[in-house]
Amino acid sequence: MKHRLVIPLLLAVLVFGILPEILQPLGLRLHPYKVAMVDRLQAPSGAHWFGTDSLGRDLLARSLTGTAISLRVVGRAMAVAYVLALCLGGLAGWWNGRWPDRGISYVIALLHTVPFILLVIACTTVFGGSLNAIYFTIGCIMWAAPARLVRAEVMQLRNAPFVRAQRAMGFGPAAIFRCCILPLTFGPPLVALLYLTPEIIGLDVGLSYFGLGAQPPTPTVGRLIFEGASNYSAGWWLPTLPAAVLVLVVVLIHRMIPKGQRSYSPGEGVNE
Amino acid sequence: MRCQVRGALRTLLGALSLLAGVVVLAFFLFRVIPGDAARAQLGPTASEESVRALRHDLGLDRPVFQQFVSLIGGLVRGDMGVSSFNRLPVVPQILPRFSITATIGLQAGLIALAVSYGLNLLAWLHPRVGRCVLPLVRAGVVLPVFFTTVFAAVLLGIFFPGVSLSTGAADSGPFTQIVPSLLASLYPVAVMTTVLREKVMTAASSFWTRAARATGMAPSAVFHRALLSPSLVSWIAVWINQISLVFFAAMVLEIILSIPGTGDLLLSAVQRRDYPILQGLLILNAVFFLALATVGDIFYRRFDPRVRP
Repeated sequence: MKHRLVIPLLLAVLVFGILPEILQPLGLRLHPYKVAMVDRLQAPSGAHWFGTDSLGRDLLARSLTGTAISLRVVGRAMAVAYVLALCLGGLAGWWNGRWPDRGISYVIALLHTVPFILLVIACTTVFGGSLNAIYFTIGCIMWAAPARLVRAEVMQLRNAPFVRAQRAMGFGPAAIFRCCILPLTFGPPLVALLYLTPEIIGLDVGLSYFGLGAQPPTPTVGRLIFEGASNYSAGWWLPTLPAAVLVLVVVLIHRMIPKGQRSYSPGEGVNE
Repeated sequence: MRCQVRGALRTLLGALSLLAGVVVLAFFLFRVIPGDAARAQLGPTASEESVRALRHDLGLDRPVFQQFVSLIGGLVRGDMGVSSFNRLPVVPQILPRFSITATIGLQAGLIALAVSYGLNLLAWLHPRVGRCVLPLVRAGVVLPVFFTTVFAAVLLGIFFPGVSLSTGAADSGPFTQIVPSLLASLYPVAVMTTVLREKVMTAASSFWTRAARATGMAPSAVFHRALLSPSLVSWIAVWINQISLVFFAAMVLEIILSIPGTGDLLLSAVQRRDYPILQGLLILNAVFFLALATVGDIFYRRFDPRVRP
């Protein structure tokens, strides 16, 4: 039980960006936006653990802030997608074969045939291109795959012996749905979404080509790595150290998935 | 047999209705986007009259319904209109681009099939090797595609300065052809190897596998006949689902490495507000995926005894 709390706690520290405050007693002052041309492109040292970038900004501060920003927007997208997947997938599974299912399944299939990145770009040009708006849009598109899982799960549970027993005992459909079916469908869509997290963090880089996403002084972890890599001859630490932070975060997220479900694959169970 | 034909027909009808949905979506999505193709082309300093003239030229001032009807009429003839940027027909512009993306995507898909099969066979024949290799392969799930792409590009730049990845699949050597596919295949390789491994291990504890081994079958024969065949259906199902992710990866990869594929075309079309091109891309993609899904579904009906009527 103890170790199950460690990783969410670590992630929370990263998400809320409290790490700079924690590091302050160690003599580190972290300012992600402070430009200091005097110490530009410094290699990692005691004063700047991750070195500095071409404007003399502290790379550790920028990496931590960037990670926090990325994780926050991705978390928001996940939350939107999760709620949508549970509601719509649950509805489709419950009314399996009737018109709510037909309609929702049609929309899911439609979202699967349209290339993800094209849809994101088209929608963000409609709904505005700020970082938060984009990830809200992504959440509204990403629910399709997990919703399929919820639908399959609900369809299976509907005819499970214990549900039939509840029905025989005289429980109404709403009560059965709330107490027996809904709690059992929480897991699979969450795991499916956690598997997609790295790609969604990375999507920011693709979007930056279209002038969408975070605007320049704001760091995101994807963009730090990308800009560092296009400038890697100036200093090896520019792409590598933010990348190390990203890998650490992604591995942490991956470890959060319970061991039995770790081999779960997004998309499996779709045709079952 | 008749039931099978009926099932295939129903699948086909479903695909057609989805295609109609995509056409409607593509049309209206690009009509509600703020911004004007004529204005984007002429620049902010152009006079109001010339913008209006260009709008008239492009047919953008006609009623929306009339534009929709002419789009449908064109689609029936296999014509997707002309680009609003260079006035050339859309289809010959997007087909070669799409074929590059499709090459990368399908190559990556084939790599994923081959590698996941090979690794599982290896892990079955030599469990100790499998225990070392499989966790490494699974790491492919945690790395986003832009990350591996950027680092592969940097490493290539350091170790093979002469090799460029950005010339595209059309006019380059085998190396530039295969590296993007390899990068795009990392994720599906990880997922498919894991799925197949899981199915194989489930089948390995079954009584029929024990029976097959008791009759003295060779290990590789046990793998193919007792383990692989019951896993085949879900393995292929995962493959078909992975293909759309692979195409997403291929587009991101093309944008980053500036390979002249769909991703690259997408970028320039968005900047020029070239809606006919975007519309064409959406519809072409949908046709491709629906064809793939339909084939997969028919495959299902043929091979999965549970779906077989």
